[in-house]
Amino acid sequence: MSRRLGTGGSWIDRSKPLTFRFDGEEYEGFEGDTLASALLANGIIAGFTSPLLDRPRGVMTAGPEEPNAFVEISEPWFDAIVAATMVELVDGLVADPRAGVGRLPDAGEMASVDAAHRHVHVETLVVGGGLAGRRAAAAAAKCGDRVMLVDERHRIDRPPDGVTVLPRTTALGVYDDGYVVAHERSATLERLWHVRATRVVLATGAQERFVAFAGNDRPGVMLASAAATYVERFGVLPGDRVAIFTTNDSGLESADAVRASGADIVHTIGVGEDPSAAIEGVDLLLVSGGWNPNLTLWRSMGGGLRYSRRLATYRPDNVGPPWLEVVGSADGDGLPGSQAHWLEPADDYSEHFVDLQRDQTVADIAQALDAGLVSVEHVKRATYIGTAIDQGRTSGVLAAAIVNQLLGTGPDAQGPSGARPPTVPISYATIAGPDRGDLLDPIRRTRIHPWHEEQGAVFEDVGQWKRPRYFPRDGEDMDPAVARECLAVRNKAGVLDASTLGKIDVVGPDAGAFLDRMYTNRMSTLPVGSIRYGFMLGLDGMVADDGVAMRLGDDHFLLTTTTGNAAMVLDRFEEWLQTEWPALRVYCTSVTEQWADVAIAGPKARDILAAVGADIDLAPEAFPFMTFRDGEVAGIPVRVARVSFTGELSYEILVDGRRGLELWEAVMAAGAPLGITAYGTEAMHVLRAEKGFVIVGQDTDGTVTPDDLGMSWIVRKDESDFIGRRSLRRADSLREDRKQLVGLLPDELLPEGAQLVDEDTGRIPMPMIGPVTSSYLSATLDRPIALAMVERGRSRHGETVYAPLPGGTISAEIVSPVLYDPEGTRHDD
Amino acid sequence: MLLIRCPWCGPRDEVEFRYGGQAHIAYPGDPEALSDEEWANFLFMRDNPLGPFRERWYHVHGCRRWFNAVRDTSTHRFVGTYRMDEEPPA
Amino acid sequence: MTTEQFVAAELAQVGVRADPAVLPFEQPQPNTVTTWKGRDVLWLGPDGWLVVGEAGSEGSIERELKDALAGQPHSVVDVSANRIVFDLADSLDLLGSGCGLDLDRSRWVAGMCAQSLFGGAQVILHQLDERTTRVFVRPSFADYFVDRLGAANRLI
Repeated sequence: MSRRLGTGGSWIDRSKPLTFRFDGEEYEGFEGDTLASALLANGIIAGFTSPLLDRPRGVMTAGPEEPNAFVEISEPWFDAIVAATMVELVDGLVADPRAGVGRLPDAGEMASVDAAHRHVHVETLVVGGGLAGRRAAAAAAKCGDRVMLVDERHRIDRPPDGVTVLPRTTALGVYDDGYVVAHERSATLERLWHVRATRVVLATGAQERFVAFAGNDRPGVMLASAAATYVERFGVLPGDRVAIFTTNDSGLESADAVRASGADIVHTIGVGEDPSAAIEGVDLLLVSGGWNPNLTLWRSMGGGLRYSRRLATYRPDNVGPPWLEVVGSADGDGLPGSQAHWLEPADDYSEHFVDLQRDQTVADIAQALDAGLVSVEHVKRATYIGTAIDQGRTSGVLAAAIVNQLLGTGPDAQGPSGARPPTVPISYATIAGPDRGDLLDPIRRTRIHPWHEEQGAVFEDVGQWKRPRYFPRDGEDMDPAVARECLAVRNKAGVLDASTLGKIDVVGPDAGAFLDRMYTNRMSTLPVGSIRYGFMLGLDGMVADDGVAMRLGDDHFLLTTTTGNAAMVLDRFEEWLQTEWPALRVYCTSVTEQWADVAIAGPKARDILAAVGADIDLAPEAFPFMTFRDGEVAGIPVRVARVSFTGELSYEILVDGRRGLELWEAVMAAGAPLGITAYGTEAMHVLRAEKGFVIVGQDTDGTVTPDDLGMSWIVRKDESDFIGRRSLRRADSLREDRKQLVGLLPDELLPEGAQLVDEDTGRIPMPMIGPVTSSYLSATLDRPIALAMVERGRSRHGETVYAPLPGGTISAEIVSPVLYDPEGTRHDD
Repeated sequence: MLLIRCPWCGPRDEVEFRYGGQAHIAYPGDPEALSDEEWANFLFMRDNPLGPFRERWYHVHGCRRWFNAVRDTSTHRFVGTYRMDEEPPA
Repeated sequence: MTTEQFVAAELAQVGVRADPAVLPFEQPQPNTVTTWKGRDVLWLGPDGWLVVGEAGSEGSIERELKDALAGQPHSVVDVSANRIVFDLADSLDLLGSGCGLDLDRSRWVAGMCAQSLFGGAQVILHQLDERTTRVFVRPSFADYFVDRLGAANRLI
């Protein structure tokens, strides 16, 4: 039965009919309708269900305070749950009722959510496009401010000049220093606005107050002003035989508007008469319990409330951030005085609904109070009143007032509980915007990456970087590929893209003195042209990073750091220089991507470098281990460093980042006849583990000192201070039972992270003596190996320990961590 | 999203900065002269007042300068920011 | 969008750090750009600047700076490979999809520069003229920068 009036409806365009589907049936509406107004126009007065009690429900309001009519939109966009009163009707809309809870969409539906994010700065942001909001916006624009005005409805009448007006835009939250996030949604676009405003004006209006009486949740019970809105804005009359229950004059005005459209006002009742009785014989009961200022956003920023006896509700007080103000009816302006009437007295309160979204009644509040929960906040948690999608818009003030009344305290004894952002439901996909999938975090690649990809490398994530983990050939999976790569490095030569390593240029008269303070060993004594490996500790004495320093000149060093710590190390350098030692004359510059790094390792490394064409004397006496040379390789200016992470003869070639790929390809071409093999991070991990070289962050976890690693040699012997030195003398740092780095020869491959015990008693708990930190199948040694941190480990070589695991216990012999070439002769060829 | 006034760059979003803990805690002149307890105090013990607090901030994704701030820990509001070599605001 | 569709500008870039009192060029105000013998000088900090010149001129820029600063503590580092440079036209709204700077045309004008974030990437922005924004980004972040700009472009 159509409830569309023959004429009227200031928002609809009767020349533009639209079709939509609701709950599987097709209906018609007009451009300008909301989904709710179109449903009512089509006579759908119920159509919804309450979430817990399964009671029939219908549209009750005309705005975001709607507690019943929630839908899922599936066409032409996806929205998991939204109030039908806030959905702008578009042609082809498909909506289905949802009782309080949305469903998780599938990937296809989420792919269609594509919210653009926009950052914007304004001097004044006005939330709410009613009269007070438009006035505030116009005044600010006149002063020369950049002004934005947002309103959640799809139409703003008489938008002010000089103002950026955004209809269909809901302020989701107001945050520190005028940061407001607002969601704009139309049929064709969705945007999340991040607004930084010097001043935020909340013209968020007021909404009509509900009253608790028996059966107040039944379809056909509506807020009085909502009915007037449906008549005036949409030309919809939700009922012909109408009763009105009101505590204030505005209810009578709403009734007049409804009457003027042809309805029959059968009963007009006020406080003292029971509205439940008026339900019989009418098809529309209008309720007006007064008006509540909308203060969600005000309160979220710490704005306070004060009770107004005239309005029988709360207004903003003067406490709140200086850049936030409330105007218009949100401040109580122009609201009608109202009697304070919250509930209709009765013997049975079990159908006096307070929060329709939660199906909670006055009886539920009374039960909480009887249980001794007398605080509004506790009643909220016990009943969930105010925690649903509508965040207590119709129930919050009401619930607090009812608590006060049932406890016999004054109407303002306790105020309503607050609401949290977002003010309306918002999907995570919208919040993420473009920052999801591959764009969730930047994926960083070196300039040699195209070569790796073309060779079919399997990549692993190292921080934000994609590094080749291994290069499978002929359908290999990881283990044979890594074994092949390791043996290639040990027997011929391999090449690794080490471009991800952090690189820092340190220069100035105090460069050496500065590095002496940052590292455990003395970099100031490093000869020009030489390289030194060093540890950086935290103030707590724990290993934080390792790296290599090259001395380019008396005042000039080039440092490398681990891939993952490049930014951290530079930040730490700047922190100390700027906050503690501003008098030191030294400057640090990141050059991580200025240099690409092509590392050749293996017995054939020198021959390959010669084959590529180096104008550097490569003879070992001319170019010893732990030195570097500047020159040209393959005609390209380079810096070649003899450092080794694999234990083999090794040259790391630093080259201008823009020529990294060119150099790599030249090395591969020259090295091919000599058996050069590209290798990845997995083989690198195995090769260094065979030499007992630790990886900071894998074998260390922030609780490990240099001595724990058996590397006291890296700590200087003189008395000069460095970061962390004092902590190495702490009693805990000197404990005899500290965990120490050891090698393990296990019967089978151990999982990294496995805990070791002295004795597998089979009974829990077993005292744990330390974790396995690195574990690999070693092709070089033709057996599984591991590194571990074990209590008193260095004094336990030769002993057997155990790793109890779900599938059985693995035993392992404790040995020196240097499993291969313990004399260290192979790098020094 | 706090708005933080870098002394060089002016107001920028919080996301460009990193928090640096309590300000004006100088590295001890002679760490070796401190007992373990005194050293632990320097390493780990920090004030935690309700109200104005002097703290350090680092404009890591901007000009990469360290600076100090006085901020109210109960309202999150900045009273002021000042350079490393300046006096705190009253 | 791919990096190929964005044509990166070929430029010389040299990082300079020194006491501002001894600089051979006039120090720009914070977050602004001055010129020195035809090169742009971008303010990066109270003691750090980025000198940007024609492709291939990094050697001569370095030499001139080192000569001028000889005898003073200084850092002159070629960073021409350390950032990729894109010159984007009419792209402030697009950049506003991931950057919290005030890029309103009334506030962000030619001659201004800033270090900030675009999404998860550190960038240096330099407004060259009314329409062109020069963006410096680390090469390893360039793909991400282009992809994120592209994602914003489809929605804007």
